[in-house]
Amino acid sequence: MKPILKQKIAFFYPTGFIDGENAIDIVSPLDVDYLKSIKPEGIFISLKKVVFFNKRGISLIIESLNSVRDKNGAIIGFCDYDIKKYKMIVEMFKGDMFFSLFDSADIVSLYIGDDISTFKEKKILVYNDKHEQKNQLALELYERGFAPIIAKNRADFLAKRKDVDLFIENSYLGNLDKTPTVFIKDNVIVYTLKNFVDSDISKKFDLTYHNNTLRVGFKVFLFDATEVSSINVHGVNFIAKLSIAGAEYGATIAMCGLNARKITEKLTHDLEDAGVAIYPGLKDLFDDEELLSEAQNSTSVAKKGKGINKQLISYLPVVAEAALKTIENLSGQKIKRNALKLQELISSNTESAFGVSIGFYGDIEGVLILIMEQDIAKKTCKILLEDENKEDDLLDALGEFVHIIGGKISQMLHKKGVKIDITMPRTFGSLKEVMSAQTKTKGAQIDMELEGKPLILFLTK
Amino acid sequence: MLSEEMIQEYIKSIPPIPEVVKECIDAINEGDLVKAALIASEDRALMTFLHNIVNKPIFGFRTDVKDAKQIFGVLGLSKAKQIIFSYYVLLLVPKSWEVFDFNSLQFQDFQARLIQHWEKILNFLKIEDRELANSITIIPASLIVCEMLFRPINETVRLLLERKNMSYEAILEKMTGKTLFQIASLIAKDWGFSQKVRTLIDKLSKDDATLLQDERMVLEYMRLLLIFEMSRPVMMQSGLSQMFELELPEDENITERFYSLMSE
Repeated sequence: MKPILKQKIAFFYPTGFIDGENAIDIVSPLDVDYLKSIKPEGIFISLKKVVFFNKRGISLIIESLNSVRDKNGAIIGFCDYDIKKYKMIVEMFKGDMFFSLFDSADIVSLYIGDDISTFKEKKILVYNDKHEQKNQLALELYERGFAPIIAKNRADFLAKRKDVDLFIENSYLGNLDKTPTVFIKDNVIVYTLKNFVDSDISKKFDLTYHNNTLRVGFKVFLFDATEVSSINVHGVNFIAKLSIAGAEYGATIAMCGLNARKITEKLTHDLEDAGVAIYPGLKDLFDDEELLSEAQNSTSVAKKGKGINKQLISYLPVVAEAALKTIENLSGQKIKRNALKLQELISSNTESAFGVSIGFYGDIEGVLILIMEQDIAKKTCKILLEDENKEDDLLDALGEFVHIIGGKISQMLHKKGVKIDITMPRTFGSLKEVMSAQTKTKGAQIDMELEGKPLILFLTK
Repeated sequence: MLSEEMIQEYIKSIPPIPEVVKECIDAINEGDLVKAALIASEDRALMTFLHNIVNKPIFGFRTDVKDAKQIFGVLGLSKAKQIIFSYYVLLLVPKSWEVFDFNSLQFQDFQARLIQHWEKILNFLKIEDRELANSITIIPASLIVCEMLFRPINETVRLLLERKNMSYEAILEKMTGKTLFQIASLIAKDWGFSQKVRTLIDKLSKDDATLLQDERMVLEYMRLLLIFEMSRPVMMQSGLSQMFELELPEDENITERFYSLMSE
């Protein structure tokens, strides 16, 4: 069963019954190999559509997931259950639970993965019958930049529950001690380092992910060393190298939480010499308005290698066909194709139009941008939408939609012997945001029409 | 994108019930199993199917059941009718599957398991309604409908499913407003199934409070049976476990009873 990847977390969605007969096929040996290769930060089994499970089935799944955890340090567990299922698992594995349980997939994303923007400014309430678990659940959230409310007891939890946006009740933290974890706050990528930072960091750090975030335009990266016991020359060299490599993209690497007990003066100077900005704590960095404004500008796509080249143009028909076919298949609408021009991005869309960019890299590199009106986006993404009236949901759905287009492009190019990978999609909530990200960047622009409204496909490097 | 027209076209393309099937069913309806066996023995394809399906381990016959009379004899009236209907459903199976990694033999296994388990369930529920017993035979047709309808947009849908946890049925419903069971119910109409059976199949996706308590219970078990079968390794490997969007039962005791029954 293939997992669905969402912000560095792999989710499996089995349906029906889980027992000794079928558990091995839910996370099969092939899936285990795949998970080892993609190195997700978390792997979770959703029990949403599961009606029945027994200990044998759950144990077999855990056995498979453990082998990925042992290799990559991924956080593993179950989510999307009701209180009865939660109690059953706790009862089955009491005293021997090395995996995590989260009430819902949303709560998984709160603790693991890089996208916490959905929960920005949200009121979160934490409660667990076990005091130690309650504190751990809250502490992890503090570390990820949230300020959760902790319920004193069950009565307090029930009283406060109605006044919060999200509550965590039946969750259990297994081992979350993974180095380094990552999340995004105010367009700053925050890597949380723990324990001893040495040459191991080069093995555990997801360089592909880091490079992709550079490609889609993130500019500020912070290594939070608050929980680090010490950092040696190899750890410093690794971060210094990232800083030097990032300069090519105009990116800033910062570090916080260091002190004399953790790092020598010489190594601190080495970091500074490599252009690493040192801040006392996490708060100090987020108080630095100048740096944050730099991070906000990062909503642009990567500036390295502007323009378009002949090689990329030669693949334009494939890219265009894949995009059009996918839009037509999923929206059920016919697209009218107008002009193809090599130019800077020019749009006749209204200010409220949405945009999405997706980068691809490998045998060829480029960035594809799609711009469409909100009402067209609503129709196009109908299949992916649960609540079409929420603007955030619509933008997310459009992001997913463009990711599907990216997948199609990858598939079609693969048939021509061209191998590419695609980045996560980056969404833009207004035309202004898209345009400012593309100033003076030449590319191939295909103007199209869907129900008489402009739809733009822009391919650049 | 799928449309209502495509569904109508597909239903129209389904060939009429072959004469041999009609005659066999008429003989069974008259209660004449010997006549039914004689008619069946005239058709080699039907005999091969009957021989294969009856000797599947799920039916538990210890010796090879070969002869037409022997086959109809061991099956009895009710099951014989179900198997003749299953033969007709099998005729709709494509030579090769594109959307799902499945084949004709696995399809026959699925049919046999449904028939046998359904009988077990109806016995457990003490239901003797023959129409209800036969209704299970129409369900496998929905696998074929799904395979055929999704073929033209298979690649796009696969990419969609890699990104979002959706069933084929949910996609179909968003695109056309119809569920797989509603389509199966339309097919059942052409095959002469009673209004009662058609209504039940039509409402299989989710609980309907307007139905009688007994009917709701039957549907609950039919849903569980489908969920159970779709959880099997072969269905997971084929991709068919992602096909249906079935409402899960709220009463855990029913699920527990069902699982015990299937494990017997």
